[in-house]
Amino acid sequence: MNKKRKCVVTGIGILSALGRDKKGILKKMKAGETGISSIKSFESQAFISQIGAEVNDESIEHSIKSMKLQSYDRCAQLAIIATDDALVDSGIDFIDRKKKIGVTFGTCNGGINSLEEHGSIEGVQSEKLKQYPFYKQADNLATHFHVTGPVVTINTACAASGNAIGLARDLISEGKADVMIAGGADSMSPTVFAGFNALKALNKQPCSPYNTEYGLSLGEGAAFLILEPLDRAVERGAKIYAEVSGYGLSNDAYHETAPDPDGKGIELAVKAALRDAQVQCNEIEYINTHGTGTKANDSAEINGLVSVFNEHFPLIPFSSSKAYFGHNLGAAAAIEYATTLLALQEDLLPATVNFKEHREGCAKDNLITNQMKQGSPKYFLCNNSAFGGHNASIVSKNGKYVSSESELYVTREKKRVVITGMSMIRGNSVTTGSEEASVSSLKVEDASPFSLKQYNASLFQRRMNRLSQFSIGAADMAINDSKMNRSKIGGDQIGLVYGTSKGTLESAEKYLNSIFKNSIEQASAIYFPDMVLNSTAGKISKKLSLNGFSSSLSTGGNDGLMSLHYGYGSVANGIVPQCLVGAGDEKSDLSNMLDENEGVERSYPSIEGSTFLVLSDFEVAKTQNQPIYAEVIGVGASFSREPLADTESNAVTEALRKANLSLEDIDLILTDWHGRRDKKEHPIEFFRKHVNEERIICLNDLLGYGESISSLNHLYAAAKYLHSGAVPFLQLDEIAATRESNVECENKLALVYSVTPEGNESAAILSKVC
Amino acid sequence: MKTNEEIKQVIKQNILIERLELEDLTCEEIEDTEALFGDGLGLDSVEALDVVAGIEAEFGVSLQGMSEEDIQKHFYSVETLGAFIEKKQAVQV
Repeated sequence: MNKKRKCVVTGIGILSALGRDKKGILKKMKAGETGISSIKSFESQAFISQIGAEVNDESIEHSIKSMKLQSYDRCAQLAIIATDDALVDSGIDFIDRKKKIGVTFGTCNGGINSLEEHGSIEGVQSEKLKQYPFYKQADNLATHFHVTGPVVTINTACAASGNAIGLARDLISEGKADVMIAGGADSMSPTVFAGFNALKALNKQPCSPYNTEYGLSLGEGAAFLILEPLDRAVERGAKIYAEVSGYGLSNDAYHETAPDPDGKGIELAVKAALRDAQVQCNEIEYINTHGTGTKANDSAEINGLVSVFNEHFPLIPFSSSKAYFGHNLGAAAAIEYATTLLALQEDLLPATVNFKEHREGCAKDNLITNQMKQGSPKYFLCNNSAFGGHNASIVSKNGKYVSSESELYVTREKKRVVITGMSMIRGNSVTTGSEEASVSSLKVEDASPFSLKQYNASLFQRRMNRLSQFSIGAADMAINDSKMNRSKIGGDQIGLVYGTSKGTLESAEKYLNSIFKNSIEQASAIYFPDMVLNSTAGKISKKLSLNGFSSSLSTGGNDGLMSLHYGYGSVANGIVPQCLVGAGDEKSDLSNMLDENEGVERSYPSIEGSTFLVLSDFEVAKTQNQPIYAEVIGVGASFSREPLADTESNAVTEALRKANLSLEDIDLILTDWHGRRDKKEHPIEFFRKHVNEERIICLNDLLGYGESISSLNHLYAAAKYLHSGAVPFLQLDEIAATRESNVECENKLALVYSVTPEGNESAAILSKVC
Repeated sequence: MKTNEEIKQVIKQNILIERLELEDLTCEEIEDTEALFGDGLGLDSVEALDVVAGIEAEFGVSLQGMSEEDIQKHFYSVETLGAFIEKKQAVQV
């Protein structure tokens, strides 16, 4: 059994269409006001709707200047200002650098404003282009506040910040961070507006979910929470808004934009959240729904909730806060969660304002309309759903019921996690864990990349971008390699964590050009769904029928290793018995342009492709007779702007601490390197100070470099080394030859380390399983 | 103003084959009366909306705010769509 810390919210910062000042926002919510009005930031005449929920520029103008945020994208600006407010609210002494502070940042569109405002892809200013990547927003926030803990961008579109809050809870409860800054941000964007317009999802009137008028209203904003362990919060006498008791993730595996009409996905997420929180259905006394206002969303979500709560559902007051704040996409969950906490401070429950008449199929008497209702639920639920089918549900305990006498810890059974399947697609070369991996079969060739249609036509669909083809192919091969009995394990019993730095930029380019080269009202509905980075994870889920624990993330250079980190937790904590972890990269004109703009002069050939691993609960793997390549015994993540040689790596220290080892115990260190000569020294230089040079290996020369996949390719090699005794892909394997004879089985250990150009570090330790 | 035949050709070549990237299809293989959705070409609801944007781009007609029912009615096949656009063009001229 494993003792885990309880995690509480001690600070809130919000920027929304209802303002920035928390008291002011609550006052407006009490008055039933909406933040939705005429769009001011761009010309909206050509669209179905001319309204949205924008942040008042005057409210942030001063902060942007005083905090020197001018060069950042609006998304990062909103996030940093909200975080600053949250830190002040929490009363945490931020000068205390000994604290490990981390960031989980949910965003749907990242720095889209920086890319779109030029009006064409060609000729975007260099400084602007640098601000576009999704992970850049979190990295800017991390740099601004000098954080040294884990930093992760969650890109699961409109469920992103809900997932971010959940992941932050994990990192706190497992002791990987002392404080987490968790939330999300998205800015108003004409090209995103055009996409929702093309999908006919917009409402001409200020939206009112479950009302007879269909459609959503877009918004912008940010909300960040400060999360801490309950014991620390009690110790310093902090104000406790709520305890994040549990959360659940799932995927509809149904459609890229539309929800499963039966609400199966949301049902699975809510059930997982209740299980995680160890809370019963009848203990939930309020639900803040995703409720966008579209015909498809609203009824599907209600169907899902009815399936979970059955006869209890009519007794649980619920509402969607989108009529106050608009749909804030990646920030939606955090804004709705934070404002629910504000309302609960005064024993009030948010309402669905602008409401006139119940819609057929959604007419429920327990919907709170127009006026906030009195209530002080002990436990409540916040739900969000997204393009790509991702769902996130959070179960929380009202701070008023979290007393200092309550238990500070929860105990959980800890599972051993082993790697049971592996696959790697690089350009046109394919290899799986059970095969001999030789260099000759792994030549980088761009001419004709892996074709999913040729591999398995039933997994392909028309216009499928290369990133999805690589990733679906690799995921399927890893499952086959694991010899998993798919019929015995349902789709909801297999998790998926996918990492990609930039997603499919070729599709993004097609979408943006449909606007730039034609006109904004002719935006392409078919390419819009690929603008969100989780579209690939969504397609993998759909094609392989994976409904379980599901996330998609970015780190900007070690995305694959971070996926392993998150997937490892999901299996170790018993959330799912098996979890696919993978990453993918796609090269395109736009990706080359971004690289060139960064002044990237890589020392290695650039590659595209996808790598996947299957992580299994050791007991399950044994029962199913799966091959076991290696055991994952420790993971760590951290952020550091300092050159690696000048400082210890918190990620490595954390991974070693978890594995109860020191660096000297490690037999082999594998590390990839982004090859950017302008950024930090090669990690090999750092490890050389601690271990023999012959034990440190970088395979980039042989495997090429892909920013999302390379760290996972090194982990693949580490697992293969522990399994077979030889380092794969190396032609002359001196390491294996010299070490094989005198190394005992039980101390065969490998460490994989990766750092991004921005300083995001990730490490994992693998052990041989005898 | 384009003739009905020209309109249908643009729908097939510029919108269906090029814009929607319907692989392995030629104009000759798309029958005028074949259903665009379901059993016919098998387009889905998102692709239908891209056809709307394509028509706006190709023919300069505005279809903003068109109801789902109207889309279903006029977008049944290349034939019905061609007739609809022809009528729309006549109104705008």
